[in-house]
Order: sequence, then structure tokens, then C-alpha cells
Amino acid sequence: MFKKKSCLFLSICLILVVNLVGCSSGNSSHANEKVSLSELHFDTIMNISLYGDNKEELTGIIRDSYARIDDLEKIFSAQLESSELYAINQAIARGEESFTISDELEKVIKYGLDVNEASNGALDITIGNLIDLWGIGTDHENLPTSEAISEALVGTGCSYLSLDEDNNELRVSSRKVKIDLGAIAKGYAADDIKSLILSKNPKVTGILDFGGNIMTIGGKTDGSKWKVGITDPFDNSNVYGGVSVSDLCVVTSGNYERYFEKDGVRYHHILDAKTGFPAKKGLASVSIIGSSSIQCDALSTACFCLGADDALSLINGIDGVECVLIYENGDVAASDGIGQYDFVRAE
Amino acid sequence: MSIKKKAIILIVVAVVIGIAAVSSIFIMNTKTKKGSYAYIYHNNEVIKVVDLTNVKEDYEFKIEVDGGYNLIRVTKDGSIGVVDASCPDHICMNTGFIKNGLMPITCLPNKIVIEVKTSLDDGNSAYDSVAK
Repeated sequence: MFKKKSCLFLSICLILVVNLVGCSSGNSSHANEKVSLSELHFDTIMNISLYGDNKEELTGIIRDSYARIDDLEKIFSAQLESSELYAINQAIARGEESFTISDELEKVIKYGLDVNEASNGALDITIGNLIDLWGIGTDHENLPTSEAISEALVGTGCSYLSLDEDNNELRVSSRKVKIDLGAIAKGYAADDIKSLILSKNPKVTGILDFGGNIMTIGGKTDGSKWKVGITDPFDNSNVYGGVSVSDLCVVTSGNYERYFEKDGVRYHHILDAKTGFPAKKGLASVSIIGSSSIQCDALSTACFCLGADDALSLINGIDGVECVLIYENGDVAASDGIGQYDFVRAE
Repeated sequence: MSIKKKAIILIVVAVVIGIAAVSSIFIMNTKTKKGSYAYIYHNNEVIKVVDLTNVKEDYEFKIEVDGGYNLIRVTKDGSIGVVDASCPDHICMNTGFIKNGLMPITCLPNKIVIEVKTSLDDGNSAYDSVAK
């Protein structure tokens, strides 16, 4: 009798201990699997982290996504010699004026032209020669002469471009134009890849980090929103603050990542098409929150070049888009509707 | 020994085993939380893992790849950064020192990525991602 009782008691104790151990390691056997893979594309590091029920499926979706990104790079890159845009820029320099272009290239150029108009020229996709001249981030980065900048500005201006959308035709009226889609191509890629992922499995959630352009897919597995940090422009290994979002993107443009210094002056990579110099309108960074990554990407660059007052007017006039502006003097401003994303300073 | 005494001894033994198991789980978890490692990748392959816990003195080491280099410093406060590099853009140096998984250091020309992994990054971090 006693043996039976004690055996039963011991068994209960053992079950209790095993359960406790099981609970502790339970996090790793969560119903939702996570797969996170990084690759280098578009001259930056990209990371795709997806959550779903099947690791193999998630891995396959991410592999397909990177293959698609590779295809997009072969359309939009101004540096890749095998890209569609590279070939067009070469042909423009030879004096050709009319080009039949792919649907994707037409969409992105069209978007660039639309935002150029909406931002009064602050975003300009024809600054390729200025970018080459400054060479910021390359081994020939330098402070150009004012003559060289004036020369590069001759071929800068979206009025040189026109699109015939019915015939996928791009017309370029100056051979001095060089198109660069660096300010919006990653944004287009994030929108495209999000659609691709959801077409393969609409239940998948996750985060796309394309060189610091963040796109969230759905919300977190526990139903809460993602917390997306905004880099501190004065110490870019730290977070300045954060917003809570689901199914939205957060894109930041700042003066702190790609730059060089000469005689104590910082020359960063966001060039102002009106002056030919790095944009200097009192802002250290601009973060845009919205549903379309190409829109956020385009607006972050445009707003940085516009300066705070015009940027706030622009963003407050667009539905579904909000911004956080950090000034060079450390002040911060935000658009009228930022409250819905619980913007808070980091502790 | 009476049946009652034997039962009491068994209960005590079971309780001790239970407490020991729970304590060991707690200690293991605490130890993992303190762990912080920097993974250095070249071409997406891990080439070096650096323990960032209990660093007694700042030290430096050089990663040499494909004719280029990155001089890396590890500090007493458990952070890691690039202090010199052969790349033209110096984005890796401009990133500064990192001590958590939110901001990897990237050197595209040398195809080097430095990522810090701690158990704090597995769900307990204040941020899921960072826009930059």
C-alpha cells in the first residue's frame, strides 16, 4: 500500500519537475516559427524576418524574395553595368532621346516625377551627375569646384524627362541627364516584396529591413504592434525614439550615415538638386510613416531637402502619412497625426 | 522506520529535487541573459565570434579579407566598433560602437557585417527594428 502511494507521489513530483522544465524552454517551441535571413543588395544590407507556421515554407518565401530583389536591382541600379537603367543612362550620354522601358522602370520613374512635382522639385531623380561628381561613399569623394557643380546642374531637372505611359516610352531632352533612382528604388522593392510574400501566404507576418527602410507585414504574433526605432542622428548606434505600427513602413533619411568631412564641415549624401550641394535646411533626419514604402522613401528625401516648415506642410497635406523631424540643434517636430503611432523618446 | 516517517522523507526529497530543478532553470536563464557575443560575417559566413562579456581591457584586432581590412575595437563596456578600415565610404566606422542587436555594423566594400547577439534580442528588446 505504502509503495503504491509513494510511487504515485514520486510520479506526480517528477511530472511536476518535467513540466516546469518544459515550460521554461517553451519559448523555443512557440507555435509561430521565425526565419530571418540577410543578404547584400542595392548597395546595402537587407534583412527579411518572417513569422509563420512552417520554417521550410518561410525559408522558401525569403529565398524567392531575394531572387526577386536581384531582378529589381538589374532594373533600377545606376551603378550595375548590367542594369536596364545603366544602359539607358549610357544611351542618353550618346545622344539617344527615346527609350522603350520595362513596366517596373516606368512605374518608378513616373513616381519620381510625380513626387518631384508635389515637392516643388525637392526630390529629383536626375541628379546622377551630381552624385558622381561628389562621389560620397566612393574612393573619389571630394569637394567639387563651383564650376564643376554648375556644369553638373546643367543636366539636372525632371523637366528633361517625359513619359508616354501607353507605349512604355521614356523621352529625354538633354544628353547631360543622368537618372538615379537611389532615393526611391529600395522603397519600390519593399512594396513589391511585401506583395510577393503575401501572395505566397497571406497569413505570414514579419519585418523587411532594406538598409534601414523598415516595412512591417501585419502585426506581431501576440497581436500587438511592432515597435520601430528611429536612429539617433547624433549617435547612430543608438535609438532616438520609436513608433508603434502594424502593416506600415518607417523610412528615415539622415545626414549621419554616408558623409565625409573636410575642414570641419560635414558633406553628406542627400544632395539638393537646386544648389548642387548636400541639403542643408537645419534637419539632421526625417522619418516618414505610411503604408507605401516608395512614398515614404521619396518623401523622406524630399522633406530633408525642403526643411522643416515646408516638410510639415507637405506631410500634413497628405492623407495616411506622418513624419518625425529631428533638427540639427536637437529639437524635434512631428506632423499632426503622429499621436496615433505613440511616438516616444527612447529612455 | 514508520510509514509516516518514510513518507515525510520522500516528500522532503521530492521538494528538494523540485527546488533544485527550478533554481537551475533560473540560473541558466540568468547566465544566458548576461551573454553577449559579436558575430563577424564575411560574405554571409561567420568568420569570428567575439565574447563581449567580462572584457577586462579594451583591445583591437584586424580582419583582413579580399585585400581590404577592418580594424575592430572591443571595449570594456561590452561594445564593439570599427576604428579603421580600407573601405572608401567608412560607413562601418560612422556607425560607431554597438552593444545590442538593433544596429548591425556593415562594411559593404569588404562584405563584412558585425552583429551583436544577446538573449535580450530574443523578444525582450524595446524595439523590433530600427529605421535609419
